[in-house]
This record gives sequence, structure tokens and C-alpha cells, in this order.
Amino acid sequence: MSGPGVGWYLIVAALLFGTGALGVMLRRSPLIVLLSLEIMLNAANLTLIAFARQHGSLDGQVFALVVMGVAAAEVAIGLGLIVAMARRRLPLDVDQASALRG
Amino acid sequence: MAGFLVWVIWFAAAAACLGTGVAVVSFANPFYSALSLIGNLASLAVLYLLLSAEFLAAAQVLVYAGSVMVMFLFVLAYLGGRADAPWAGGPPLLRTAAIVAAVALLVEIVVVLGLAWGDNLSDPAEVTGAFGSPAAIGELLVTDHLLAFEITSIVLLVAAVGGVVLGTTREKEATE
Amino acid sequence: MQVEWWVSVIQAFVVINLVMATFAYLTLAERKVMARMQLRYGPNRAGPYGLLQPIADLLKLLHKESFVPTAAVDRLYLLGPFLAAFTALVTFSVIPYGPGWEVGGVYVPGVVADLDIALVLVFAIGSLGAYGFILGGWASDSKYALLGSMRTCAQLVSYEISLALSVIGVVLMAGTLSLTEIVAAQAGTWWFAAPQLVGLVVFLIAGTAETSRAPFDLPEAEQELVAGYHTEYGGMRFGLYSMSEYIHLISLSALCVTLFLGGWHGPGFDGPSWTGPIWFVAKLAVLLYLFIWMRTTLPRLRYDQLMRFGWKVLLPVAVLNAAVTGILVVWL
Repeated sequence: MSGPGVGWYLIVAALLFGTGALGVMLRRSPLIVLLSLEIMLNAANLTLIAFARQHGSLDGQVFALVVMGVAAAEVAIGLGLIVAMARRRLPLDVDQASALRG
Repeated sequence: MAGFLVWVIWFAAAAACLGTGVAVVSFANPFYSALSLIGNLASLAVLYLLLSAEFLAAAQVLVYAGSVMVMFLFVLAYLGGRADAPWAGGPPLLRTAAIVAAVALLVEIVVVLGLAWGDNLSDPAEVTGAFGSPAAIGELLVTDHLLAFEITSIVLLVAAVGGVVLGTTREKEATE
Repeated sequence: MQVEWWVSVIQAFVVINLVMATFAYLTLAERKVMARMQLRYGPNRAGPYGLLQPIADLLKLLHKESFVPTAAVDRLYLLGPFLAAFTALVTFSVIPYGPGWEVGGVYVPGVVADLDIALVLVFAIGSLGAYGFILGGWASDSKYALLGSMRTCAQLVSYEISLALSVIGVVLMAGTLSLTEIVAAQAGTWWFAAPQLVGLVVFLIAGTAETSRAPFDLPEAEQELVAGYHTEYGGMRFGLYSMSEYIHLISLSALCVTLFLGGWHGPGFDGPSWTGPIWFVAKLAVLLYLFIWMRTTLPRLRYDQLMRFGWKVLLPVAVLNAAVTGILVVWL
């Protein structure tokens, strides 16, 4: 395959995953934590698709498709939780909202 | 010529991907973070195209960039882009621990990659034009991976029901 | 067949210019047809039969002041209309308007880009079009604009689903997502409008809502929200939004022609290869007339009626159509 080999894509995916992990651990607003989580999921997808190309097997791509669907579902619920939190006037801060009550 | 063009596109897409990724975790205003994520998803779609995954690239734009991020932007417009200080998460010890953990993860991945690169990652398999086409993926979805397909549909149904439940306000609760 | 890259570039250039010209004269045609249906003449001052009216409008818009409101976010404010126009135009790159031709030894295909995933691409880029409206509304930093853009996007997202589901019947019958192959599957036999009549009706209704045309044009209703997401836009930027709406309408009609009405094939027979685009344009004109007719005739739906209709009526019908088509395709 002309152009970069599979290893290059894996490095991009690794860096992306690290960035997302930093975002999840360091940001306070739950919306941004959710966004960083999406970055991590996308990095995993990139890895899956890169390996699918490496081995010539479409299983990786099917896996990535399922991950996309599950991520969409998870975002929907996460956003629903955040909107519920905002409605009850809870502070939108993951450090303070560490105990789910009520 | 073709190889060079592929490298150029790869560099542009990878740079956009990593740049927008850093932008997502760096912006104070969540609206800009969400917009950066849209850029990230689009550049990832380009990378998928380079990896012969054309159906997945289109699905990525359709599902992620087209629907999930619209949901995000709706909630952000509703909540107002309340900015928080970007790197202010938790006490300093927690912050340094997080950075150390992320760096350790990265180093580990790079080491594994370096070890594997020489031997196993050098020759990607030969693929036909039908690799990554919707027909091929569809065939796998209904034969080998039928269980995953069906369970995903149930997960999405549960998420839809959950979304409705989270969204309805019960009459007795005074929320406003 | 292998297509030279410069052929595609020239073709893309020609197609884009033709689409823009169609947009310009569609505005005139709409005003004239609406006027005649309301027993008055349309614009007939600028040039013979008003044919220079679009040019007059363009000059007017170009001369207006291009302002940016103080509170607006500059880059996003400027990006909104461009995104809307870009996503509207990209759809035309995959719509087939004729069989290929041999011109002076060079193969000119009947479509700018022949893709395996053409239909998914159309919907993907179409769903990106919502961002043009969100950005326009949010970046204007004005309450009317924000409310209008949120309403517009809720409407778009709701009807996008029914739109995508309504074409599943066609995909099942043709067995492919490629638009050139879907057109080829309708050659010489009944167009997909006949077996997929429910799909066609759902597509047209959802398409009317997708492009914010009457009776679903609440986002544009001056009585309701001043002007919705384009309240704070003037001059050429407003012209870009208006252009993106009309081009979206043209691309949706072109998609309908491709999927349900046989694309560039004639009814039951095919003439010489140069008649392909003529049939395509004729069918496109009929559909556009239908949309203009609906605008003149039907009253506007209220927002809650609109959403209720989209989710409680149109979506179940589209799902049923897809399910029944699937069952019949497998058993017959």
C-alpha cells in the first residue's frame, strides 16, 4: 500500500488516546469529559481499522462499526444525565458530583 | 506521484486529528471544544478512507459528526457554554499523577509498537477493491457477527428509552 | 473505466456553475409560478418576462453592507453560510445525469464521482449541513437567532431519519448503495416510484421538511421568529444562506429523480446518449414545480404539529415501508 504503513496510524491513535485520557482525568466540566471520552473511543476505532487493513480482514471494521453505535448510545445517556444535573441546579463539576444521590 | 500525494494527505489529516484532539481538551469554552471534536471526527474519516474503510468513513461522518455532535451542540446551546478553567482539575498531586499516568501509557504503547514494527507490521495484506465496501461489511454483519449486530440494536433501543426517561420531568418535581 | 483527473475537475466546474445558474432562475421561476397561481404577474420589469430579475437581485445583495454584529463570534459567524452552501453543493458530485460519453477519445462519465457508497455520502454530507444553521444561530449571539437555529436543527434532525429510512426500500430493491447502479436498475423497467410509492411520498414529505420548504418552513416565518437563524445576516452572507437553501432543494429533487424516477432514463426507452441529461432536467423541473406548488397552496404547520407529525406519523410509516419491502424482496 502506497503511503504510510500501518504503524504510523497506530502512533496517531496512541497519541490521540493519550490526549483523550488526559482530558478525562484533568477537566472538570462533565461535558468536556464526555468529549474526551469520545476521543478515546475514536482512537480505539482507528486502531481497529488499521489492524483490519493490516490483516486484510473486515472483522476489525465491523467491530469499529459496533463501537460507533455503542458510543452514540453512551453519549445520548451521558448528555441526558448532564441535562438532568443542570435541571436540578447541581454544579456541573465532576469533582463535586462524585456521589450519585437522588 | 500517487504515493507522495497519499503521504501529503496523511500528514494533513494526522496533523488535523492531533491538533483538534489537543484543542478539545484545552479550550475553556465547551462549545469550541465540541467544534474541535467535529474537526477531529472529520479528519479521522479521512484517515479511515486512506485505510480502505470507505463505508466506515461515511458512517463516521453520518453517525458521529452528523448526529452525535449535533446532540452535543444542542445540549451545549441549552446549558450555555459555561467556561471552566482548563487545567484546574483536582489538587496538584492528582494532576501530576494524571500526567504521569498518561505519559506512562504513551511510553508503553510506543515501546510495544517499536517492538512489533520490525517484524509484524511491515507488510499489510493485499486487499481487493471490495474491501471495506458496504456489501462486504453487510455480509459479515448478518453471518459471522449477527449476535453483535442484534445486541447493538438492543443497546440503542435501551439508550433511546433511557434518554426519554431522563428527559421527562415528573409532575411533582418543581424544577424551575 | 479509468477517468482522467482533469476531466473530473472540468466536469465538477461545469456542474457547479450549472447548479448555480439553476438556482438563480429557480428563484425567478418560483416567484413567477407563485404569482400566476395567485392571479397576478410575477416580476416582469427587469428584462423581458423578468428574466434579468435574478441578476438584479444578485447586484442588490452584493451592494449591501456586509456587517458583523459586535457581539458575534467572528470566525464562526462567517463560517456558517459557507458550510451551508458547501454541503448543499457537494451532493451534486455523485448524482448521475447521463450515461458516459466518448468525447474526442476521452471518456467523460455521466457522474462527477462514481462511488460505492454514494447514497451514504449524500446523507452524511447532508447531516453536516445542520452545522451551517447551528453555527449561524449561535455565533450571531442573538436570542431570536439562537432559538430559530435550534428549532431548525431539531426539525432537520427529526426528518433526516425518515428521509434515510424511506430510501431503504430502494436500496433493498436495487441491492446497492451506488447511485449509478440504482439508476441502471431502473433501465427499461418500472421506475422505483411504482413499487415504492409509499417510499416516494415519505421521501417527498421528509424532503420538504429537510429543506425547510412550505408547509414546514417555520424557520423562515417572519411572523414567528423574525428570521430565525439568519436574523443577523445581511447582504451577500444572507444571499449565501438563501442560495444554500435553494441548492439543497435542487439537490434533494435530483436525488429523488435518481432514486425513484429513473434518473436519466426515458420512460421505458432510452434515446441516443445525449438525451440522458435532457430527461434528467425535465424530471427535475417537474419535481421543482411540485415543490413550488406546495408552497403556494399549503398553510404552514405549527412547530409542535410539525414535530408530532415527523415522529409519530412519518417515522412509523417509513419503518413499515422498509420492513415490508425487506420481507417482500426476500420472499419474491
